[in-house]
Amino acid sequence: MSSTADSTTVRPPLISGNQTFSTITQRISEIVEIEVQKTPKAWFIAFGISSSLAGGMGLMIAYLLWEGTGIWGLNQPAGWGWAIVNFVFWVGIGHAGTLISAILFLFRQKWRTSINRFAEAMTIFAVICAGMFPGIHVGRAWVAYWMFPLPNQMDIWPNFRSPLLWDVFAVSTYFTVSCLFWYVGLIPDLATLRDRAKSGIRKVLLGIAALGWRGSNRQWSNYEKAYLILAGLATPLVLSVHTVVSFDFAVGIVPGWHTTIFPPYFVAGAIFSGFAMVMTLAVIARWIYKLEDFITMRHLENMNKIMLLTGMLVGYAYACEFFISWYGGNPYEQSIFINRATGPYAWAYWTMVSCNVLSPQIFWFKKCRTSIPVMFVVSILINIGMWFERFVITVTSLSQDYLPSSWGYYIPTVYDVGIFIGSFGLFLTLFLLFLRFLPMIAIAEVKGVIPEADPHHYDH
Amino acid sequence: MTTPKNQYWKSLEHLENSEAFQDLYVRAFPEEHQDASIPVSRRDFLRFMGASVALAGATGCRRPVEHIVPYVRQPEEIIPGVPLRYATTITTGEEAVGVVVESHEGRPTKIEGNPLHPGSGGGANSLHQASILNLYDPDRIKRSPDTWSDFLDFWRDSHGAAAAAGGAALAVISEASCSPSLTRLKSAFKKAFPAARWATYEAVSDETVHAGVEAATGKRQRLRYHYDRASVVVALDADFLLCETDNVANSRGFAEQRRIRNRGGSMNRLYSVESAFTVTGAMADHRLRLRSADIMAFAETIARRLADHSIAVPGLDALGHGLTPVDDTFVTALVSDLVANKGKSLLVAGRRQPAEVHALVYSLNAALNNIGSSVSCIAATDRETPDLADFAALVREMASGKVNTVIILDGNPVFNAPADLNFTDAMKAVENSVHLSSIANETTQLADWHIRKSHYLESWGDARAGDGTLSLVQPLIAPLGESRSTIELLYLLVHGKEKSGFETVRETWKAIIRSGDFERTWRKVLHDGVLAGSALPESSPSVDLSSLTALLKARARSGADTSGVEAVFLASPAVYDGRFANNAWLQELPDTMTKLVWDNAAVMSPSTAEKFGIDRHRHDGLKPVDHHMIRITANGRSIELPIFLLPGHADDSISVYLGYGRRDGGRVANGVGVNTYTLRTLNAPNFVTGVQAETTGEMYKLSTTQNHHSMEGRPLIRETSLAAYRDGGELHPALIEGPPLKSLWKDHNYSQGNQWGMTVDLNLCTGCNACVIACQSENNIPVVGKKDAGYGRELHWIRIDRYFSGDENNPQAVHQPIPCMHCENAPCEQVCPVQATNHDKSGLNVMVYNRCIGTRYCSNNCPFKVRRFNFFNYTKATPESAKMANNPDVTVRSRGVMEKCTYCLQRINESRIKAKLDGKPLRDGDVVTACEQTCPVDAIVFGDIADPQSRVSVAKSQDRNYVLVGEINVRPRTSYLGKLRNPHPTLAAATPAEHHSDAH
Repeated sequence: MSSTADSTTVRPPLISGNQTFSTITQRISEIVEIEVQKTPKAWFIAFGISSSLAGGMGLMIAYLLWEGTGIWGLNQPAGWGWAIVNFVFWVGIGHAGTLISAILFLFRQKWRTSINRFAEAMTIFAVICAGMFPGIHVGRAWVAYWMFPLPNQMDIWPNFRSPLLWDVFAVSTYFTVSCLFWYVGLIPDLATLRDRAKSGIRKVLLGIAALGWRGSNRQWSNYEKAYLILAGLATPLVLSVHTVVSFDFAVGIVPGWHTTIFPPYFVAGAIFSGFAMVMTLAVIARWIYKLEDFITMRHLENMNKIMLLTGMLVGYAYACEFFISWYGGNPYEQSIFINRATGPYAWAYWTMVSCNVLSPQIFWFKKCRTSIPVMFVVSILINIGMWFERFVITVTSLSQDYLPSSWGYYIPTVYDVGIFIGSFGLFLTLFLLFLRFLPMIAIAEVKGVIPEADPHHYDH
Repeated sequence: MTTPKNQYWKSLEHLENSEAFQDLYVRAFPEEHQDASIPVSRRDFLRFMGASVALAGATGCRRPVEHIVPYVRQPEEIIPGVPLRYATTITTGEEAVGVVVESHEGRPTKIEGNPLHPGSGGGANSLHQASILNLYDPDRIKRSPDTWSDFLDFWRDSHGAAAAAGGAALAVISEASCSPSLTRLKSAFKKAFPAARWATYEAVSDETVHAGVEAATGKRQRLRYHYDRASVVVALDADFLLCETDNVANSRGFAEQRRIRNRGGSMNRLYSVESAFTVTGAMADHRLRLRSADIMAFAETIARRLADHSIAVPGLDALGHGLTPVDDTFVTALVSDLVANKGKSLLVAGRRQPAEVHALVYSLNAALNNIGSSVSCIAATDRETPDLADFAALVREMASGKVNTVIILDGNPVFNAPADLNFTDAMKAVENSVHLSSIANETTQLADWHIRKSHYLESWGDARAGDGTLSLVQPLIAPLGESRSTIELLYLLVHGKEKSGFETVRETWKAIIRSGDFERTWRKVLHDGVLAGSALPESSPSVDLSSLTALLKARARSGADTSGVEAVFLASPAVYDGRFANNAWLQELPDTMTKLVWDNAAVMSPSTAEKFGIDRHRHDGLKPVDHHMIRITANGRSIELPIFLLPGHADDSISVYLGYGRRDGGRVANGVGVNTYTLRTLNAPNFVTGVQAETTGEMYKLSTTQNHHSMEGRPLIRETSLAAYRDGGELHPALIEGPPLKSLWKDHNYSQGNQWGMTVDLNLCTGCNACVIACQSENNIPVVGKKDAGYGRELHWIRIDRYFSGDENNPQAVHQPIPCMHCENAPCEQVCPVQATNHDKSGLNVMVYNRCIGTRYCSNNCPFKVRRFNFFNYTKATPESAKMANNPDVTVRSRGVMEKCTYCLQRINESRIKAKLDGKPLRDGDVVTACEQTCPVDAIVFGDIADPQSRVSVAKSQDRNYVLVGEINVRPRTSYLGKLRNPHPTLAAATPAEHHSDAH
C-alpha cells in the first residue's frame, strides 16, 4: 500500500503522540521562545563551529579578492574548478525545498507539512551559498555586476546568448520566489509567535513581520490563494533552474559537456541531492529537538523512496551518456568518457558511481529504508557522490579536451578546500539561526493534518 | 659608514675607519652600497630619453652628436607615437646577425631580423628576440658607486709601467668575436704590449670546427654551409637548425630545399645522428639515436662504406673500423643517398664533436665533391677564435703568480671555465683583476674592478657575418647607467686614454671604405645594416692529407676508452651558455623538446632511466609526479640534478644544459637549475664518457608546459611521405567527419574589406620557439614563474605543441605552433556573459580587456586553449626598468582578465593608417605579424584571404591545407599545411605509417 496517498481513516496519522492544537503550538514555539541560557548546548557548540568555518571562509575570500583566482588550483585547461563545482552542488541542494513545498503541495501530498518549512529554509541558504561562488570565482569580482543588464551611458548590454547570463536570471528568480514562498508560509506562524511574545521588542518585531495577520477567514482565504499561486509559480522553477545551470555545460562545445541529456539529468540529480541534504538535516534536527512525533518514520521513508528513484534516474543518465558517446561516433566524446572511467580521474568517477547509484539501492529493503543510521549514512554518501558528479562533469571534461597538448591535471589548493568547507559553515550558521529563531515546522499547516482538523472529528 | 662604539670591529683599520678603508670597504662589498630599490627614476628615464633622442638623430644619418640634450624642441624625424627603426647587429661569439630595432621615442622595444643581412635574411631566433629585455635588465643598470673615474686613474698609473715592461705580467682574457674594430685594437694591443698574454675563451664555441678544418685543409679557415644547395643533409650530432652558429641562416637555407608548393614539389632529405633529441632530429626524415662518443665511429663507418662504392675518402687509412654494431639499413640508405647525390649533399658535425670528427667530415665532403658546392671556406678574417689550450696555459700562469694584471673582457670564466682549471684560485692569485661585464656575475665578485659593459643597443661596434659581410653595431639609446663597450675599454687599455666607440669604429671603417665618399657609404651602411658586397670570397681548399692523417692517427693512438654512460654538455637554446640566464622570457620559454621551463635536467631515454631504477612510465600520467634526483660523477666531480625522461634520446647518454645554477647571475637567474659546468673538464669539455650515475633518493618538482605527448590519433598534425603525396596520397590521420555543419547563430558578414587569415606550414616549422619570444616582446606578455607555468598558466599567445609518434624508444617528434585560430564562428564569443570578446568585420576575434570580468568561460569553450588568463597580477613583479621594453601600442593586461593572440592587431592598424594616409589600399605583405616576421623559415604566412593573389590565399589553396577540429563548425582562420617527410625508399617501410598513442 502506498505510503504517500493520504487516507487518514485507514493510515496511521501523519502526526503521532496524541498532539492537539495547543500542544503543537507549544512544542514548536517553545523551541524559538526559549531563553538564551536554556538554548541546548549542542546548538551553541554547532553554532560555534559553523560560524568559525564561515568566518574562516570570509578571510579566505578576502585573500582571494586581494591576490586573484590563482590561489586556487585552477589551470589551463581547467578554467573552472571547485568554485563552479560548489555552485552547482549548492544549487542542486537548493532544489528539494521548493520541490517539497510547491510540487508536493500541488499534488496534495500532506505528509510534506512536517518537513516543508525547513526544506524551504535549506533551499534559501543553499542558494545563498551557491550564489556566492559565481560572484567570487570571476577574475575581477568587483565588476561582476556587469553580468546584470543594467542600463548605462555606454549602452553596453550583457551577452544574451551566454548561458552564464541565463544562469544569473534563473538563479536570482529562483531565489526571489523561494524567499517569497517561504515568507508567505511563515506569516501565520509569525503571528502565532507574536501572540505568544512577552517582551515588547519581540512583540513589535514579530508584529511587523506578521504583516497584521489576525487569522480571519478572509485572510486565510487570501493566504491560501496566494500560497497556491506561489506554489504554481515555483513549480516550473524547480525544473528551470537546474535546466539552465546544465546549459552552462551543455551549450559549451567541450566534449563531455556538449550533450542534450543534461537538463533532465541535472534536474534529477538536483532533486536527488536536495532530498539527501533534507534527510541529513531532518535526522539531526529530529534528534536534537526530539521531534519524532512531527517528523515521523513515514516522512523519512517517503523521502528515501524518492532518493531511490532519483538515484536510479541519475544512474540511467550515467549509462546513457556512455551509450550515446559510443553510438554518436564522436571520437572526442568517446575519448573523454573512456578517460573518465579509466583515466587520471577514474577515482572521482567511481566514487560518484558508488555513492550515487550503488548506495541508494539499499533502500529496496524496508528495514534499511526505516533505519535512522542507515538513511543518515546513505544521505551523506549521496551528498558526497553528488558533489563528485559535478566535479567529474566540470573538471574531467575540461582537463582532456580537443588538443592533447593542453591536457592537464587539476589539483585543488587549501583555498579550494577551505572555501568549500567554509560554505558548509555559512550554510549551517544560517540554518542554526533559523532553527533558533523561527518555527522550523509549519505550525498552521501541521495543525491542518491532525485528525482534529477534520471538522467532523468530534462528531464520532 | 661609521662604526658605533658598541659594535665589534674587524681590524684596526676598521676601528680607525679611514677614508682609504672606506673606499676599500665599498669596493669589497659593493652590494651593500647599491640602491637596488630604485632601478631608474623618472628623472633618469627622461634623461635617457633625451639622450637617446639625441643619439637617434645621430644614428639616423644626421649629425653624429653625442651630447645629452633636453627634449625641448621636437627633433625633425620624431613624431610621438610613430616608431622609428634602425639597423644594427647582434653578435654572439663568432656569430653576427643583422637586426632592425623598433624604437619608440628613443626607447628600443622590439628586435626584428634584417632582411639584407646574410646572417638573418629577416629572421631572428629566440635569443635575438629576447635580447631587448637584457637592455632593461635592472641588475645590469642598477646604480653603483662610480668606479669608472677611479679605474681611469688606476689605469693611467699602470699603463705607463705596463707599456714600459712590454706588457709582461699583463694578460687579457677575451670572448670570441668577429669584429674588425676589435681585431684592429687587438693588434694595437699586441704592438703596445708585445709581452702581454692574450687568451680567448668561450664555454660554447666552434673551436673544434676550426681545428678540424685546419687539420683537413692545412689552413685556418671558416666553414660555410650552403643548406640551400644540398639535397641530402647528414647532421652528425649537429643541431644546425637551432643551436649551432648561424642557425638562423642555416634554417633559412634548409627551408629553401624543404618548401613544397604543389604535388609536384621536391625536397631535401635530412638524416640526423645524435644523442640528445633536438629540433634538427625532429625535422629529420631519418634519425639514429647514437651516443655523442660514437659519432666518430659512425663517421668512420660512412667513410668505409663510401670506399666500398669506390669513392676515395682522403685519410681513410688512418681510420678505425667504424661503429659496431650499426643499424645497417640506416647506413646503407644514407650511403646510397650520398653516392647518388655527389656534389649535392652536405655533411655537418656539431660543435660538441672533437676536431677529428670535423676533419673527417671535411674529408667526406671533399670525397663527395661537396666542397665548392654545398660547403665552402672563407678566410678567417677579423675573427677572434677561442683556444682552450691557450686559455688553460694562461690560467696556469695566473695561478703560478706570473700574471700581475688580468683584464677579462666580458665572459664569466669563474662560472664557466673547465672545472679542473680552478680558475677561481688562479684569479685570486692575480694582484689586479679587471672585469668588463654587463652584470656583476660570479667572476665580478672576485675581480678588483668591475667595468659595466654596454648592451649592444647602447654601443658602437662592427661585425662580420658568416659569409664575411660587414655590418655595423649602432646604439639606439645612451647607456642606461655608467657603462663602456669592449671597444671603448680596449682602446683605453691600449692607449691609456679614452676615446668614444663611435670614433674608434669610424677609424676602422675608414680603412674599410677606401673608395668613394666615406660619409655617404657610412650612412648607407648605417641605414641598410650591411656593407653591400663585402662578403669574403669563397674558396674550396683541397684536403691536406698529411695534417689530416696526423690528426686522425693521433686520435687512433690515444685509444681512449669511450664506453659506458656519457654525459653530454649542451648549450641551452634558452640561456645559451648562461649569459641569458637573467632573462625571464627565456627562462620561461618551454624547451623545444622537453617543454621544461625554469630548470635544466638530466635528460635521458626511458631505457637508460630504467638502469637507474626509474619506472619508464613514471611520468606518463597527466598528474604531475616528482622527479628523481640523480648524481652524475665523472673524474671525481659530481653534480646532482633531476632526471627527465625523453623518448628518443640515445641510450647510455645523459644530456645536460649548461648555463643554469647561477650564484651571481642576477635576480632571475640565481638559483634556477643546476650548474653543470662543475662537471666539465679540460679534456672533456663537450661530453665525458664512463660517468657513474645513481639516484640520490631525493625528489624534485619540475615544471613543464605540456603533459601529454601523444596526439591520440587525432588529426592535429597531419602528414604523409613526399612520395605518397606526389602520387596523390592523402595526409593522415584522416579528418574526422561530422554531421553537416549548421550554426545556431546568424553568420557574420565577411564580404567587406580585408579578411585576415594565417597559415602555418608544418613542413617548414622546426619548432625553434623564435615566434614565441617575438610574440612575447611584441605583445607585452609577462612571465608567470615556475610554479604557475607548471599549472599551465603561462601566458604565451603562441605556443609550440610537440607530439611524439611511433616507436616508444625511437619516436618521431613533430612541432605545431598554436596561435589563436580566429574562428569565424568563434565558440568563445557566444559564451561570454558580458560580450568582452567579439568579432570584427575583418574576421578578427577581438578581446575587450576593459570589459572582461574573468569568468574563464571563453577559455573553457576554446577547443585550442589559446586563451590565457591572468590568474594573478603578473605584471606586478616586472621591474620598473623592464617596463620600458613594453610595446606602447599594446595594452598591459591587469589581473583577472583573459588575453590571447590578436593577429598583432596593432600592426594591422599601423599599416591600415599608413595606407590610408598614403591613399593606397593595403597590399599583401603590408601587415606582418611578429611571429611571421621572425620565423627563420617563413613557415607562418599572414594576409588577406579575401584577396586570391595574397600569399596566404595561395598557401590556403594548397591541398595540404587543413584546419584543426573543423568538424565542430568553428571555421578557424588559422590553418595548417600538412607535414611531409621524405624517407629513403628502403627505410620508408620502417617509418610509422600511423600515429600511435604509445608514447606519452
